[in-house]
Amino acid sequence: MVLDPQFVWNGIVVGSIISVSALGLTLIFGILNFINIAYGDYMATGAYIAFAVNAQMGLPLVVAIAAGVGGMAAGAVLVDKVVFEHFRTSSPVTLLIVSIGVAFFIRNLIRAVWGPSGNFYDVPIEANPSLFGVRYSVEQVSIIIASLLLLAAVYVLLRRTRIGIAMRAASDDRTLTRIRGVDTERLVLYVWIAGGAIAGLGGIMLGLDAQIRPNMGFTTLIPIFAATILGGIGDPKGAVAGGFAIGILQEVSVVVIPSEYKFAVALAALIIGLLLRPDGLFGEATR
Amino acid sequence: MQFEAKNIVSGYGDARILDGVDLSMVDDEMVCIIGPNGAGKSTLLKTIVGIVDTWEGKVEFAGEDITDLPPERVVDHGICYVPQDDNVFADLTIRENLRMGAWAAEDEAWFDFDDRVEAVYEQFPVLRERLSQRAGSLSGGQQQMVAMATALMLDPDLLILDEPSAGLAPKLIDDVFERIAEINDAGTQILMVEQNARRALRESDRGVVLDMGQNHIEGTGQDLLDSEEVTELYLGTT
Repeated sequence: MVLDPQFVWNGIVVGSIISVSALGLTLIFGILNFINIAYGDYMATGAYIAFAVNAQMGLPLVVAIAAGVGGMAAGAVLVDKVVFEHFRTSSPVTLLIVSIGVAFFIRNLIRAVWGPSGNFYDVPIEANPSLFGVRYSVEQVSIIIASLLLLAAVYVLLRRTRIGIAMRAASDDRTLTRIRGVDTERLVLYVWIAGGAIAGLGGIMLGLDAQIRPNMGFTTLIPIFAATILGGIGDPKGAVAGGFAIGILQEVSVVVIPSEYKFAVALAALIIGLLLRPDGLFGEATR
Repeated sequence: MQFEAKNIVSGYGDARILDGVDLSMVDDEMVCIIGPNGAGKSTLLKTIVGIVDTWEGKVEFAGEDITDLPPERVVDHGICYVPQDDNVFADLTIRENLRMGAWAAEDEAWFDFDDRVEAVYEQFPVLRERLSQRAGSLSGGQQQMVAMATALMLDPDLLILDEPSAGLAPKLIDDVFERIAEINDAGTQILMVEQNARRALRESDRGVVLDMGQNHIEGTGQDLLDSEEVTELYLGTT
């Protein structure tokens, strides 16, 4: 059996989307310390805002992307103020359950506004060019480039800026961060802005690669969680590596098993990964 | 500077740990709190720096009321605190840890990060070669040095230390106490809790014995070491 490079290419595209999305999820987890189930629906919201601006209002896609990303950044802050802020001292399990409620609310709000059926962005439809036997689209190339730029930007933020270092510090030890004089509620605000923006971008990429549906983000949560946990939850570089690993495995697996079982591959990778490296890809045996 | 804690009552949940503690310090003093396990020593420090809520009483430093301030605001009053455990950011490099120590002052015009780092290296030369190493990869003694160096980044007026010698090898304990004495000589007031009570009392200007959440005995370090009651009840035979 020869591995078709087409599947590897598809895997890189899907891996880019999962990496970006997993990065946003893991950043939020790092500071807020709970798994936000509504994250998938944040992605869908970003995709639909961009859809409204692009396909419904007829504005260029670039404007629509900016609107989707900015809109979801604001949306994530709004949801925090209305809901999550009131549960700041609750246990991670309580917050997880609250986020399930938020997820249902957002998804049904999307259905109420845009209907249950699938939609597409208004992008020119052209025959996909091919290179060395691999068909690729302009959207796919843009997705990969945008992902790499975003991953680089987040890396610089976390390693080189004062706020980024404080975010890593707070993800390590919140109380000690406060002792050092950091107003961690400010960091929470920044992390919702960054996490919301990244979710919005991930959703738009997903919509560009496939189609825009109300449950598009929710169904993608499985590979995103798999990537996040495989990489070691709360570890940004782990989330990125996990994202590409899961994306490529999932797409390449269609050579041997029916594509409906793609998600099973993500879960199998997660289980094997956890057995071999319980603290994540880059985890050390701490505590 | 004048530090004054009056009739402090605090605790966790329903558990009342401190039951009216008084503590005062004057310029450049080094004060050590000793007492049996569960006496509320650490809780007193945590209450002062705002990690534990004050139920009753008042804390003043340099004439300002700092009673109900959250930890991130206590720093603004020139008070830096080194917790007993988890006192460094394990995932951050030493330089990044020092950067976090400087957080509250980095925007201030008078503050120069590199100058301050230099000054801290003078006191903790071991850190110089390890700048970009993860703090979590250091030994316990080195982590304690990083923790103290981080707390000194702001050049605090009052340094609060919770069990600085806990878990360290005897040789390192000497080292840590030497650093503490140097910091105090350089003009920083020090309030510490120590298990290694004899050693700490010898170094300190004054000692306070805390028991059952209340002040018990107070005196100069030497007085307490000479006191039969203190020796018998709180210093053991070691």
